[in-house]
Amino acid sequence: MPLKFALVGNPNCGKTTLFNEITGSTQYVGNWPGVTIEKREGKAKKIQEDVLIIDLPGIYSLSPYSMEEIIARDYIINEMPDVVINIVDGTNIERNFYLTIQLIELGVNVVVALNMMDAVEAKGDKIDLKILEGSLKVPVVPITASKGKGVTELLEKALNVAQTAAAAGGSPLLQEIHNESIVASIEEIENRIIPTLESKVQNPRWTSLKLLEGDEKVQEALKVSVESLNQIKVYQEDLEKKFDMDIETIVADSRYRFTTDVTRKAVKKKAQASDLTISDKIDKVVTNRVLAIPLFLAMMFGIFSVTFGTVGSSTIDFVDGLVNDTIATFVLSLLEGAGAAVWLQDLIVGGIIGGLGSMLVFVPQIMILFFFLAILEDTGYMARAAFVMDRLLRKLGLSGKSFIPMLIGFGCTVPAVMSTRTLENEKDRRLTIMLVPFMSCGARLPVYALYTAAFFANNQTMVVFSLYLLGIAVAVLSGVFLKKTILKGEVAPFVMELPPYRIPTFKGLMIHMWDRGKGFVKKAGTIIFAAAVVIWFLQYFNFSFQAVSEPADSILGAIGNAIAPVFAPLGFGDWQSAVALLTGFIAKEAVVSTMGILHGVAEATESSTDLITALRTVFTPLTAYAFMAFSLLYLPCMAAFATIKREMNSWKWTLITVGYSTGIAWVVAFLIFQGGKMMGFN
Amino acid sequence: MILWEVSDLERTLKELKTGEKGVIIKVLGEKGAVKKRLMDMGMTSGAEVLVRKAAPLGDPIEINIRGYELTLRKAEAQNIIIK
Amino acid sequence: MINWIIGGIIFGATVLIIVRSISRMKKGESGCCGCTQSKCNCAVK
Repeated sequence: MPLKFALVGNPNCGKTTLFNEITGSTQYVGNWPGVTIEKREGKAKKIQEDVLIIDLPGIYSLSPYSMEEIIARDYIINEMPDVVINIVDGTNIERNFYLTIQLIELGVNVVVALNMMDAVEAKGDKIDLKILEGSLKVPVVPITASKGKGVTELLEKALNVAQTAAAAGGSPLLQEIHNESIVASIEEIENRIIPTLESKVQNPRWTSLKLLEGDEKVQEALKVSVESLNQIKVYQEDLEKKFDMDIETIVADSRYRFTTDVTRKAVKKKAQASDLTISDKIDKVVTNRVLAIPLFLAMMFGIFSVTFGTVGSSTIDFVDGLVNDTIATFVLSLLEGAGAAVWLQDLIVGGIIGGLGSMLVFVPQIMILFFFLAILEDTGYMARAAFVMDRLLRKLGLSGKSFIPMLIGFGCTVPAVMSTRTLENEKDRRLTIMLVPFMSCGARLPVYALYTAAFFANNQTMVVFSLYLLGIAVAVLSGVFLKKTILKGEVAPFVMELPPYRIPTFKGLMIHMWDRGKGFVKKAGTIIFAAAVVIWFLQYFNFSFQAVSEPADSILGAIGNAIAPVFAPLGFGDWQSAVALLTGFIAKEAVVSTMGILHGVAEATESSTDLITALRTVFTPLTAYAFMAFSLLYLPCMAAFATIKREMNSWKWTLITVGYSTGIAWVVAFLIFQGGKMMGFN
Repeated sequence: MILWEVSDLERTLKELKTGEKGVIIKVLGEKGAVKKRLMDMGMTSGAEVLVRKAAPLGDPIEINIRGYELTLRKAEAQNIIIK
Repeated sequence: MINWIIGGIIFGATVLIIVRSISRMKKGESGCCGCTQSKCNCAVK
C-alpha cells in the first residue's frame, strides 16, 4: 500500500505548482481562484518511497456550503490520507491559517508547507518558524514551489510524520484555539450526545464541534435525531446568548482570533497594507473607472488582430502549402506508383488529407489565440475582469464570477463548463452553463478563418471580432431572458479574492498553450480522422454500396438533401452545408474538414485555396455570414455536450441547453439572412 | 434578523470611502452560506479593513483585509458594521 | 492487394477510434480535447 499525501490549501496558493513539482507532471497552473476543480493523483518522484500525492480543490474553509469544500472535506474524512500537506501562502498567512486550524481540528496529521517564501523575502517580511511550529504544534516547512526549493525537505518531513505519528483521535489544540465556553460545550456534546447516536462516530471531538456549529451535512451523515438536535440547540443558544452572535460567527471569530494572534507573534511585516504594491499600480490602470471596459475590449480586439492579421494568416499559407500541395502531391504519386486503385487514392488524398488538411491549416492560429488566453489567465487578469464586469453581469442576473467561465469559453467550452463549479449558487451555475457555449471557442475558429478568407479577405479581423461580439450579445440577451423565465432567482452574492498579479513564465505560457493546442492535433488524429473516413465513405457510395459518379446521389447526399430544407430559409440550403453542420456535432472544426472533402472531391488534389474558390460558387458574403453565425451558436460539440450532461446532472437541462442554443442559432441566422436581403445585401 | 443600532462612531463598510480604514465590529445577517463565506474570508470582529477602490461602475468594491485583496458588493458591505 | 491492406488499416483504425470514443463517453469521460488537460480526463487517463 502506498502512503497517501493529500495537498490542501486555499485557492491560488500554489498547490498545483507543488503537485507538478512533486509528481513531475505538467498540470496546468493558472492565476485565478478555482483552477483545480477535481481531485487529481500522481506518484511522488523525488523520493524513494511509494507515495501517492492527491491534489484537492482549493478551499478557504471546511464549511458545508460549497461543492469543492465538501469534496475536499469528504476526501479527508473518508479516505484518511496518511498526511495532509497544507500549503500556506507565506504572503498571506493570517487568512490561510484559518483553513490550517480547521485541518488541525480534524485531528489528522498535518504538515504545513509555507509556500512563496521567495515573495516573502522579496517583500522584506520575516517569519519566525519556531513560533509557528510552537503555536500550531505541527511541522512547518518553508518552500518555494515554483523554484522547487524545499520540496524534498517537505516530503521527508511528511514521510517522517506518516511513519512515526499514529493518527491522533482528537485535537490537542482545541483548548488553545477556542475559548473555554466553546470547549466546554464541545466536551459536553462529546460526552453526552455522541454516545447516544446510532451511527458510530470515528472522530468524536471534531464531530462534536461540527454539531455545535450546526453543520447540516454532518447531521445528515450521522442521522442525528430531532431529540439530540434539540439537546445540542441548548448549548448553541447558551453560547449565542453569551456572545450575542450566532453560533457560526462565534466559532469563526474564535478561529480568526487564534490565527491573528499567531500571525502577530510570528510575522514581522515590512510594508503597510496601505502601501502601494506593483499589483496596485497595475490595477490603477486595469480597473480604472474610465479605462477598464474600453481596455478590455481593446485587448480582445488586439488579440484577434494578431491571430487573424499578418502573423496568423502567414502561418495558414505555410501549412496550407505544406499539407495540401507538397504532401498531397507526394502521397498521390506514391499511391499511383504502388498501383493503388482510384478509390483508395481518393480516400487518402481527397478524404483524409483533404479533410484533415483543411482543418489542420488553422491549428497555428488556434495556438496563437491560446497563447494570448494563457497570458490573460496566468497573470491574474481573470479575477479583475470579474471585478470590473460584476455590475454589468448583475443586470443580467449573473454574478461577476460567471465571467471567468465565459472567458475560458473562448478557449474551449469543456473546461469553461467545468469551471462553473466555483459558483456557489445552483441556479447561477445552470444559467452560466447554458450561456458558455455561446462564447466562441477555439474550435470554431477554423470555420471563421475559412469563410472570412473566402468572402471578407479585406477585413477579416473586423468580421471575426463581430462574430465574437455576436456570441457575447446572444449570451447576454439569453441571460436576461432565461433569468426572467425558467431560471428565476436571487442574485448570488459576489465575494472573491483578487490574487496579486504574477508575471507569467515563458515556460508556463508554453505549457499552457501546448496543453490546449495539442488537443486539437490529437483530435485531428482521432475523431476528425474517423469522421473524415466515414464522410468520405458515405459520399462515395449509394445505398446499394455502389460507387457514385455524382456525390449528390450518395448516401450522404440523400441525408443532406433530406435536412437541407431546414437551412434553406437561412440562405444555405445545399446538401453539403447541411452535412457539414451535422458533422459539426462531432467537433466544430469538422465543419471545415467536411467542407474540404465535399467540395474537394471533384479533383483529388485541391488545396484550401481551391476550397475557397469552390465555396465562392455556393455562398455569397451574406449567406457566409449567416452560416458562420449558425456555426457559432448551434448545438455544442459532443465533448461539450457530455460535459454539460455531467455537470448539469440532468437530461432535461442538457436537452434544454442544446435545444435552446440550436433554436437561437436558427433564429439569428434567419434574421441575418432575411434582414440582410431586405436591406439589399447579398 | 438581528437588529443593530448604528451609533455615531459606527458605520457600515459600504459607507467607507476609498482609502479609508476601519475595524470590523460585527457582521449582520442570518446564519447561512453568504454570512459564512464572509466569515471564512476573514470578515470577523477585530479585523482591520481598508477600502482600496470601487469597480468602474461603482460596485463592487475592493478591500484589503488580513493582508490580501478581497472584492465584495455594496449589498454585502452594508451588512458589515465597522468603527 | 495493396488496396485491401491500406484500405483495411484505414477502416480498421476508424472503427477502433469510434468504438473507443463511444466507450469513453459511456464511462462518463468527456473525451474532450483542445482544452487544458487538468480539467479533462483525456490526458490523465
